[in-house]
Amino acid sequence: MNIWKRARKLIVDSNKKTLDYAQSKAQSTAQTKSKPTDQSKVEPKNQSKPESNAETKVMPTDQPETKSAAQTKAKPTDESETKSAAQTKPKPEDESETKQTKPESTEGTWTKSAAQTKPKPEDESETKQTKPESTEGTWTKSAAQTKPKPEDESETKQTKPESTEGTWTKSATQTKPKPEDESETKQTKPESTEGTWTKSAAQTKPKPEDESETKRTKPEETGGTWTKSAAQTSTKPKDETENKTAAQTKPEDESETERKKPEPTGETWTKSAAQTKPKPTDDTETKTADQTKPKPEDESETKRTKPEPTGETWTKSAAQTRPKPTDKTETKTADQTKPKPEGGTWTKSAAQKRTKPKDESETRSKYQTKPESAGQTLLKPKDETKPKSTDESKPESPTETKAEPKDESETKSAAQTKSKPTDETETKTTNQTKPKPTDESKLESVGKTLSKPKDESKPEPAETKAKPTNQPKPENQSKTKSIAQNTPESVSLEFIKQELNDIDDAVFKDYQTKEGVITVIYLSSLIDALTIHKTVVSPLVTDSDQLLKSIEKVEGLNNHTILLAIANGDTILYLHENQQYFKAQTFSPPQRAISPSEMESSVIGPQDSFTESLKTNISLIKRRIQQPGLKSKGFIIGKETNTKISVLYIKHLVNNENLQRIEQRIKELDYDGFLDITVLKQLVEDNPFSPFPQFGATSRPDSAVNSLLDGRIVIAMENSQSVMICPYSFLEMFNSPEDFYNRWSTATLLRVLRFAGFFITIMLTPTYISALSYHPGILPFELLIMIQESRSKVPFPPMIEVLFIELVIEILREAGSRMPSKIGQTIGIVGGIVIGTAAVEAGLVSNTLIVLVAVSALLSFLLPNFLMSNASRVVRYIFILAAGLFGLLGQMLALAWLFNHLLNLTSLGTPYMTPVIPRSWSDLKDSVIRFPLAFIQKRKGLSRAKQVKKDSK
Amino acid sequence: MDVTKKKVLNGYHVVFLVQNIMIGMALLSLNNTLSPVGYSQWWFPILFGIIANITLIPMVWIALQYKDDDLFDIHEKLFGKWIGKLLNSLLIIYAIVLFAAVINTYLDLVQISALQDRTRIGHLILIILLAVFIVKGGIKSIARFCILTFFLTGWLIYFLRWGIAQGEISHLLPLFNFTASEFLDATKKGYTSMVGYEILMVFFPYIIHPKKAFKHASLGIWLTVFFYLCTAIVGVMYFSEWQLKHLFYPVLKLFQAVDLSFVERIDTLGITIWVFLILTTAGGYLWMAKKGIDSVRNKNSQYHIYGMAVFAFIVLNLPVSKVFQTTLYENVFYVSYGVILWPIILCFIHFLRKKKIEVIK
Repeated sequence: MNIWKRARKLIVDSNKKTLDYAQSKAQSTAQTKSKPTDQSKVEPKNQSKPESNAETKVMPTDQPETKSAAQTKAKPTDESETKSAAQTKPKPEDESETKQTKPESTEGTWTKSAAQTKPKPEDESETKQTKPESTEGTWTKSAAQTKPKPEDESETKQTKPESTEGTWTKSATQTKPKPEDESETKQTKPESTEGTWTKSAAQTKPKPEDESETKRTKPEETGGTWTKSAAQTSTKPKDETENKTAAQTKPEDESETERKKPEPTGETWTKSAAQTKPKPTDDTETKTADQTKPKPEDESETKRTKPEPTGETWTKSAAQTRPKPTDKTETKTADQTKPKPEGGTWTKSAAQKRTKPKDESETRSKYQTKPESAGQTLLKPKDETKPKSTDESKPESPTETKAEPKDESETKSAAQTKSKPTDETETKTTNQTKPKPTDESKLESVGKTLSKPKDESKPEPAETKAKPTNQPKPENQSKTKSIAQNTPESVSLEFIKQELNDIDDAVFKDYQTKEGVITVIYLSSLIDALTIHKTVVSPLVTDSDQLLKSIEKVEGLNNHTILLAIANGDTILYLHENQQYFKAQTFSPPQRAISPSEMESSVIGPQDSFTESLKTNISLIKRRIQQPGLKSKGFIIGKETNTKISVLYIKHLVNNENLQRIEQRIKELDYDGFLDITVLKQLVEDNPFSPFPQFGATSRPDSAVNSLLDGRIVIAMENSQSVMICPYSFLEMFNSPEDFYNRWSTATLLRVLRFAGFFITIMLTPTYISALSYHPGILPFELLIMIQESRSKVPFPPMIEVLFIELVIEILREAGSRMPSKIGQTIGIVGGIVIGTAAVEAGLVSNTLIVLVAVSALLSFLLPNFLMSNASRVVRYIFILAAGLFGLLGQMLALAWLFNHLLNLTSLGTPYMTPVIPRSWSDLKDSVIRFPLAFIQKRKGLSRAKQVKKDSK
Repeated sequence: MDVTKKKVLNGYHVVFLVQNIMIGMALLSLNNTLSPVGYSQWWFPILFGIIANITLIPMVWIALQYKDDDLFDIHEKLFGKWIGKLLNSLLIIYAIVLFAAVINTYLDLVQISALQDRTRIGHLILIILLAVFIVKGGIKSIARFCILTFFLTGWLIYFLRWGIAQGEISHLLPLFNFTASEFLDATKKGYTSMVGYEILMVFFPYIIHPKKAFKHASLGIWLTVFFYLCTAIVGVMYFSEWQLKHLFYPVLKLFQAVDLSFVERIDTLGITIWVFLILTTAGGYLWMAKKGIDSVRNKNSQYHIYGMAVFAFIVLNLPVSKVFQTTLYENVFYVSYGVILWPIILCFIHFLRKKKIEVIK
């Protein structure tokens, strides 16, 4: 639901923004140069800055606010105004900055980063300071990073007072009141690593944002930019690459290792990935993020690992060993809030580590990374930012890295992708992934032994080019496996394409957006065209950054989760620029409308029934029980179908033991496909050999809700039109939800009818057999004469006669239900009238028997539970055979067997015949006789609810 | 669930176990077995109830001394391993023979009234199989089946209405119109109808509330007495003394007095539905034999049930004369008198051993 709302918001926002955006575009177009798509994009932003840049960058969350502020001038207006002012002011500066940066970098990627960083307010001071230092581009980036913060502030204004984070207020002050910022920035800069400072600020700010999904995306961006800046500040290309690569390489290694691991094992990678990776990756992502950051610092670690030769292992060790101390320092610095002491500490550490030239670069990288980590550590809840930052850092590095890999990737990407502009971006992205190995190799070569680069360099190309291919496996397997568990993977687009090969409804579409090229991946058969247009395509074209903020980033990124998400009907957005995956929940297969129940129709009471959509079914239940106590726990079962089921219960009513039992049984399931909940039911029932259903099934939401209120557990399954209720008792099979809508007297009559009907349908025709075969004395004389008369032409013994006509009825029933409905009617007429009459006239069966069989067939349909009525059909044949063998004694023996069987049945461990074997006398008030509702004050003994009494006394 | 727990029987279970194992074939011929005392027989069930309740006391008392032990374990503890096992083996044979006796008399009745032209081998196998199924679920399964049986067969007492309507209430007096020998004869024969509650000593360790067991068992006994009393009174009212002496199954005649428009002979239904009561009784004794084997072999196994069932089947089909069979099946009930009185001896031995142990100490 939230997604829909967000999508709508996005659309609305986009409409608002379009005005500004159009203006900016106009400017940008005028200003833009003939450079390829990326540059042109970036440049227009930079140049058009005053309006578009500030807005676009700030947009993610703030756009609406800023706009509204500008337009409406509500409370936020002050902030927005200040922002806009800040934005407008910096613009000239930014322009100068951007101009400066462009000539300096002259790299498409750099210009991009500059464009990203453009958001000025802080930039002014920062940029000023940084420029003298050297790398202006980096500063601009940092500024850009800081800029998003103000947005956050405006958004989080409410949160700010609450959080009252020093960093937070500082950042705010920085952005708006320049003097403060300048002083702060100045202070930090002289201390040593200004870049880190800005970074930390950027990091700290995003934290509050992280809470919301949209916010999450921002910090990621900021982190990425800020890492870039750090790299830039370092001034050495190598260092930059190193830092970046460090961050990049780790995730790559992980992904590689993960991919490779399953392959060698022979198992399908999806399974192994699904089983092993998802959980660890989530946890590890944050960890790894932390770890990755410290890694650059980890020089010592890397040194340690170097002897080991395995670059993979060292990443692990680094992650394991260092994070703690680094975190501490980071946290300390963070706590101290960026002010000078941090810088001091940083400088110290840097000084300590720097002894070697390599170290310096590393230390720089450390500084850069540290702030990130600090932000992460501080913002632990925000963990998402961490992985993002790492991800972001990766894409940057590729741009920085040399063009060698690019060529390969370009050729590949070109071949793969169709749209020209996209090709560039794709190539870039691909380059990014590929260059990583180079970066790594550089790092390794610089700081470490030769053996490491080999390992790293080898796996990486393998990954990027042909991830599925197992080449790297042998080397990396052992090493990479251990790593992979802790670190997030990077999934390449090519891998996805390869996996989705031969799926004709798999759609790969590239969109050129402000954020760079975005590839949209989805299965068109699972997603409504209108839905994907409204939620993804349209916002993506109009304002992509807003969309990227609003949708959820793929968590626990690995091959399996990505592919599973696509198979689940989610839309995956791949941001080439940052190598990020976003997931929009667009699952919208065609559904049928809620219609009256055909299986359990009722005259009075609600008419709606469950459909095949799990969401619809749960909503039908939840709109009847509107309280947070109603839990719906999700499971995915079926190793091939990945069917979703939902276990619903009311927490303060349900019996924990029951819940535990059913959950354990579900978890122990090992079955490949679940087509309907009846399949699941048979697999988790207590006695699978019994002809009787031990769990209830209903397609009526009111019936399910009634069970929930009694403390039962209801299980709903995707693609299943009925839900399962457990535990359930034999007598409840004769209850219809309508019983509670009728007067108690009517309900009692109907229940007695059904209950008696079950036994009559079982006993009627067998009694006919035994009476005529063995005990003619049972019948009154006149009745006996009548029956004998009607049977006078029948040449068979009664048992053959009964079996014959019962089978005919059974065939008619089955044929009628299988045939198309129009033909089914004729079959009913043909079967009922023609065959019946003809059989009697032909002397095959007696008139009396026709009546009895028809009655018993009708009686079997009295049962509200269809499975129970089927069970009665089966059981009847046992009785017929027993009656044919031993007459009434046989029937009684069969009855004894039936009751003994029923008595020994359990439903989720509780006796199936519950009121007969008294569990609680109050159950009898709602059994065969339904007392007036005022008398039914207790929940059923069967459900063993935590609150037995229904009233609140 | 039930298998893992040792204590499984609640109060209801105990009541209906006792009651349904007691009611078996004897009820059908109760009026006949009490016929030596003539019309004065109708209050004999009360006397039997009192006797049963008195003999219940040593049973419960000795069982309470050995709370986690059944009769077989008590034997081994009181008499030592070998004598105990010997006694247990005798008890097993007793249980199996009683099991066979109950089924045999019922099958005879079925053959007489319901399935005249059929050999009994078919339904004999079916009944034994069903008893095995019931026993397989353990004592709780038997107890549940007993409860169900009570509700399935208890309503049959309604059919006595016609007997009352057509009977003569003056038959109930005088109360003591018999001699001492007639009294003893009637008691000796009639008390077989009370046999069954001695199984309490076997399933006693499974009772959740052993201290209430005496109360529940007494309730079960008196429920039985209530049914017997009703039958005896109606029988006395409905039949002449000659009929009482010469009708072997007077209850069936009472059923035949029922006059319903849609069913002519309710006795067929009565006899066939009696199979529930037979199954509970037979099941109880089969379970007792199973526990005996468990105790003798020091091993718990479900196969003992099958073994005992096969053994009973063989006993039922021994190629011996009909005379021997009837004497065996009749006299086994007198053995059960011994079993019922046996706990008194056990109590004495228990006392002696206790004193011995104290002296040694």
